[in-house]
Amino acid sequence: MNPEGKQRIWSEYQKDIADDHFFYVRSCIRQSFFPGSEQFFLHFMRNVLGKDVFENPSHTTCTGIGYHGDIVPLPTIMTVVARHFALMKESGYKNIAISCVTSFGIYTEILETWKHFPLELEKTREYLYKATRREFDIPENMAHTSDIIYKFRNDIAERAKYRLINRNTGKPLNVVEHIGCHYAKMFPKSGVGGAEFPHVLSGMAESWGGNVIDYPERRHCCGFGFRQYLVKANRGYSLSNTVKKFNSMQPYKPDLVLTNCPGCNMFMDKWQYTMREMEGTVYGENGESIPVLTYEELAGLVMGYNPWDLGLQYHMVQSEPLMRKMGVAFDENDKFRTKDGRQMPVPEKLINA
Amino acid sequence: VEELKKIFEVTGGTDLFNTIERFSKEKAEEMGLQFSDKGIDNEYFAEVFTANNKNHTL
Repeated sequence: MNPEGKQRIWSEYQKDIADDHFFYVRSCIRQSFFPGSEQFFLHFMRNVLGKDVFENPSHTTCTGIGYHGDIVPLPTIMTVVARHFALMKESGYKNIAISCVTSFGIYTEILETWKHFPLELEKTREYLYKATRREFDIPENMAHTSDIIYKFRNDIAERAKYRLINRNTGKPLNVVEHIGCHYAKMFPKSGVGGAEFPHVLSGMAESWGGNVIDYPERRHCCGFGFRQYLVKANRGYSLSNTVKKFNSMQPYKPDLVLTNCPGCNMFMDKWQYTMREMEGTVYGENGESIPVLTYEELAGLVMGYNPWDLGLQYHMVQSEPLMRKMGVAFDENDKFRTKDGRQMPVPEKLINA
Repeated sequence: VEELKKIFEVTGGTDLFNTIERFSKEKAEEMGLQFSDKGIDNEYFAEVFTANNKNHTL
């Protein structure tokens, strides 16, 4: 195939990502478990790039976890999301930035539903007006926050203090990227690279110096899968999926797992603790487990942010092995200290600590 | 939260919750398990949330 043909085909796998003026919507899991990721995103966008990112305090959960757990019906979640669009309209914004892959999948599913079933859109407008007296417009541009970091990945590379290079060997670090099922598997055109060639995380890793690993279960579920996990009796199924994935990546010696979705991050991090407790299994080298980072945490490390401000200490699998390989400077004594210097309780049984 | 509550009422979300509660109560009676309208500290919830009959197929 000639290069022009390749470029034409690849262009069909791209998505339009707005450049500025974002209405930012939060994530239940991300803001609870990875608040440092959110803070990095907002700080980087506003203070480093000088972008306009607006948050409305009346924004709520999208109810996606309840929807995927079969206790929130479709008309309800469509109206909850319509309310988010109404808040965006009232704030004067047209570009929405969604910080959770579950929410992102919900928003894309709803927009596709309205596109193919316009009566559902009209019903949703009526429901929202009846419930709240609010009206909404459909966003002109919808991006996941990882799309936005992907768009500005080279700006991060230009500001890099550390790269994804093993300072001891000089070789690129091995990166497992996990984009998550709800990012582009359901509606491929919504993701960078579609479902076949997702580039949103691998593009970041490559731009920051890493070596992206291809392995058999690369696109396998992280194990969360909502109903697989939400009912306690099913959790063996959830864990089995994660074990299958880690078994598959282990021979390629990953230095880190990079995740797109807050839920995936939580499960790939915390199930490693479970596997270690249940069977003594670890998947990294030298008896260690594999650090699992959000894209904002990795971007922050690359740019030289303090790892404890990024919240790396709040994972089960600690990132010190990765930071030592990258040459990141850090002070163990500050790990569980508040901003004003008070010592916080230190969690027990952290891994790699 | 008041707006979310109204959305659930208007769109049938609250009705779904109430339907689940009603049939759960009937099922609990049929199974001879204690049931409570509030919280999760009851035999029926413990059964549906934690019991595995180990008879599932792939």
